[in-house]
Parts: sequence; structure tokens; C-alpha cells
Amino acid sequence: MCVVWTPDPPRPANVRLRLKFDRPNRSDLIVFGGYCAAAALYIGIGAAYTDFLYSFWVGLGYLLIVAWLVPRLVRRFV
Amino acid sequence: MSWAAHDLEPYAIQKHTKLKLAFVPLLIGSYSPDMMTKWFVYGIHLGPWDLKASDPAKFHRGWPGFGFTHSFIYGIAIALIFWKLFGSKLWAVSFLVGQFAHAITDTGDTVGTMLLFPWTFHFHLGAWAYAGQTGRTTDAAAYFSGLGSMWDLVFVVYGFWSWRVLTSDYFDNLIYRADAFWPWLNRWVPRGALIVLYRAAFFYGTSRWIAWTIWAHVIHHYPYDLSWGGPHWVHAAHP
Repeated sequence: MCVVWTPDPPRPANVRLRLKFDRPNRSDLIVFGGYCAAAALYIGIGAAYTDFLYSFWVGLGYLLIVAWLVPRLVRRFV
Repeated sequence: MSWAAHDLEPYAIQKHTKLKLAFVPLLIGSYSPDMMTKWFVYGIHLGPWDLKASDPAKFHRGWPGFGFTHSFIYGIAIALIFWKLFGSKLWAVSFLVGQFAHAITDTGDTVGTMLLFPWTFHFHLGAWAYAGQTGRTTDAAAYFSGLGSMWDLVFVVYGFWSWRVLTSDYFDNLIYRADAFWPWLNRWVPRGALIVLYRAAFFYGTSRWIAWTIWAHVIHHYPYDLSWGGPHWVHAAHP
């Protein structure tokens, strides 16, 4: 039978076994927030007018406008 | 048929495959089996004409019909064109992986796919109802009430779990470098727009999964039926 126990004294931090979750940083979360806002609008339009949901090309065009073109224009003029 | 899995699977494949793949042909491969047929399955109005397959399920998945587009041999044939005619083995392999994923995913419904065409046997798990013959709206309501939508949800959740696949670092270091298509497009389209293009299928698949679910269950109150082969309130097609 294998028994796992913590070493005494504990090993240095750089060799200690730890559970590590790959978490997004602040910049990733800001980008994600922008896409969530874009998605909320898309979902709202789509749930009301389902024709809007059928085409990938409509979705692509929408995302290019909302997630790239509009922020670019805002950065340029504001 | 699947409504969002084909948009989302390429990201999961991209994360896990040990092969070097190009994302664009992977996505094209994932969409290709339905590219030319979906409109005729649901039918369209063109001026005074109504165009619709008389037997949509057979047209879409059967033979005679366009069911061969959901077979391995179709994927191999198109991949050979990419390889031998256009000289890109990378695009050939990537297309093949995407097309295989689509053909295999669609075995989940009650009609299934002729994976080993010209053998016309339909491989099908029958987990969710194929209701394309009922028209777009009923098909959407049925699909988003059965196990098909849960299968899509697996890919939505998995995509968020694998969030690094969607980051600009991942795009710059893996996607952009793997395929000469992106540098070529970058001559006219700025990097910011390229990243949006790369993320578009995930955005589209996830957003419309949510939108259709809201439409079906909040606005219209179609009943969920997550039993095998359901929802049973719709007439499911069989091979």
C-alpha cells in the first residue's frame, strides 16, 4: 500500500506539489467581458428575430462590427 | 443534425490534437457536409417558388441524395483535392479532421450518417430526434429540447474550460504560425480583426445555443425531453 504524506520539514515552494488552476488575468477578463456584452446583444436580437441566428456569415459580420470595428472607431475618435 | 457542435468542435480538436492543423480548413471541414444542402432541407421561398426536398432526411443524409457528404470517402476526396491540386497537405489533413468530426457527430441523431459510403448503412446512435423535415422552426425547438443540445453544451463548457485556445497569445503563437493563410490575409486585414475572425465560430456557436434555448424555453415553452431519441413530441425521421 502506498502512503503519501507531507515531508517534514516541508520542501521549498518551488518543488512542492500544488494544485494549479490556469486562471485568466485582468486583461483576459476585460476582453472576455467585451465579448460577453457583444453576445448579450446578439442573443437578445436573435431570440426576438430568429432569422438573425441562422447564418454564420451574419454572426461573423456582427462580431467584426461589434468586437473590432466599433472599438477601433471609438479609440480613434474619443 | 447538430446546431452548434460543428461550430465548437474545431476549438476542442485544435486544443487536443497532436497533429499540426490549420484552423480555417478545420472549420471548413466541420461545416462542409451541410454547406450546400441545408437550405434545401428546410426549404426556401424564391419569388413565386417554394423550393424544398420532397424527402428532406433522405436528401440530406441518404442515397440517392447528398448523404455521401457525411461519409469518410467524401472527406478523403476533398482532402485529396487540397493536397494534390492545391499542394497543401496541411489543409488536406485539417479539412479531413473537421469533416470526420461532423460526420461522426451526426451519427448521434435518429437518421445517422452513411459513414462508410458507398455502403449505404446509416450509423446512428439515435440519441436525439432528427426533425429537419419539419422545417427550421420546429427543428430548432426539438433540437434545443433534446439530448442534441446537451451534446452541444458539452462543447460550450469545454470551450470555456479550454479558454486559452481563444486568447490572442494562442492565436499569435499557434494558429497564425501554423498556416500561411493568416499572414496572407494579414496583408489586408489587421491583426485585431484576424483574432475576431478566429474567435467567430466559437462566439456564433455559443451565442446561438443560448439564444435558441431562450427562444425555445423562455419565449415559447417547448417542453424539454432529455430521454434517449427525444424529444418525443416531434416526429423523428429514421433512415
